Amino acid sequence: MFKVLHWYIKDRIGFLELNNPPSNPMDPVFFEEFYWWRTEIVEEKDIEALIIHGKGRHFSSGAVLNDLLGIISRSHTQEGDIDKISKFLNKNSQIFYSLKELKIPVIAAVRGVCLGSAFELALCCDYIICGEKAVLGLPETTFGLIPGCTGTYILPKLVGKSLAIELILTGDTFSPFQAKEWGIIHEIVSTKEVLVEAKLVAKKLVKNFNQIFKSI
Amino acid sequence: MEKSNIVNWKRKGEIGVLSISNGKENYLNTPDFLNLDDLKKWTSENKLKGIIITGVGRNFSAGADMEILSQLAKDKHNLNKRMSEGIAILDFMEDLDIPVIAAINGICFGGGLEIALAAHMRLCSSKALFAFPEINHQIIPGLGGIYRLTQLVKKGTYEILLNGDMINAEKAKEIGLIDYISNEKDALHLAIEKLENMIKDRSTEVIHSVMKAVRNSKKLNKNEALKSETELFCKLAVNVKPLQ
Repeated sequence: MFKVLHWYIKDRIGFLELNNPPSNPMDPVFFEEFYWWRTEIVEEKDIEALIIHGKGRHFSSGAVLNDLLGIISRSHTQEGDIDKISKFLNKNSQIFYSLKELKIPVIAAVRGVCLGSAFELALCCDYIICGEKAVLGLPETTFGLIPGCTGTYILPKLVGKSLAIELILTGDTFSPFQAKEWGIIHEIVSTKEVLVEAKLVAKKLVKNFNQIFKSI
Repeated sequence: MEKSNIVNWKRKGEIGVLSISNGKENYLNTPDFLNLDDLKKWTSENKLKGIIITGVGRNFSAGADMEILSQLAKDKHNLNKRMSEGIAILDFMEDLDIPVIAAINGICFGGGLEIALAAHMRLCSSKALFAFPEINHQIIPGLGGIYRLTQLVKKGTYEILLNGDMINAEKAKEIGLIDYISNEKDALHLAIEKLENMIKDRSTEVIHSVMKAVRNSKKLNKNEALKSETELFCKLAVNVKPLQ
């Protein structure tokens, strides 16, 4: 069904695995498949929680820069401006952000590298669990760009303007310990326990969700 | 070095330093503590990538001089005009497309604190002190300080505003009023270090885009902010060469 995603359901939890190891990059195929998964598949299924994770050692290295530059440059040459391509790429942000509209808890289970668009995807989840060796950050400005998939919108809301400006402008990567102190992520466990813990958290959140809805 | 009212302007490479200079306490003689046109001229200088605002000497600023303020208050129209001017200065500073860092030593009260709140980041020395003492004079902060304080600090804002409580550096850091405390006596060094880390190797286009996008996150609704983020991204991408 998918080339770079792996979608499966276990114990009423949906698992979306970024499946293009070792670094599970977000190429145009990824964005296509992710759009399809989000619009056509995930809400059709009877699941009570969602876990997003990467296959192997890493979550994802983020968007593939050269692919993206190629698409934008071609469109700019053909159209004479960036309006059309900008409209097209804006769908990627909207679809990432739309994870927040799902009525079930969405958990990012992060091992290894989680940079750029991948970090932005994690920021769109309700709960982020990291392995202790995870590497996080928005390095876009070091390539002459800015985060383009919700990062500049979500991060200031999460940590305030000053830290958001600093993290985005320096482009420095940071550890999960640092991220937890800043309130960006919720939990740190040993790398091999990330998925196990994500399942436990999912069940716990589901229970809390149900209690809240029952009490209304 | 150039001067406008009680504020000096000096370039240090890609950084511009605004320093408040008015006696030991750096009292703001009037709400329009500098001339907005001068600020506009300075901030449009070539290759300027960031600004530090600080106080000359041991203090940032003790805020308004109450004697002068009560004199000004006798002419309501004049006071109103000068307050509007002060508000316009701080709004302009906050909306700049380059980062503005407040480097705070010693006293940072009233109008001084309002200036610091309009900066994008605040650093202070360990001996810095913060307060809105306006309540003791039966007035309130009038340059947007209440709005900015409540946006930034989630707990204890009523105590700050209604009791006029003084807050030390440590407490200010704890409640999120301050981003970093400097180990050195003078917070200016840390401010330069932080700012240089943010702007070195960054083009002005990238800096402007980041500042715009972050500002949009507070000013626009979600759809508009995300649309603008993608547009800023694409505009930059057109000029980025693919990696070999």
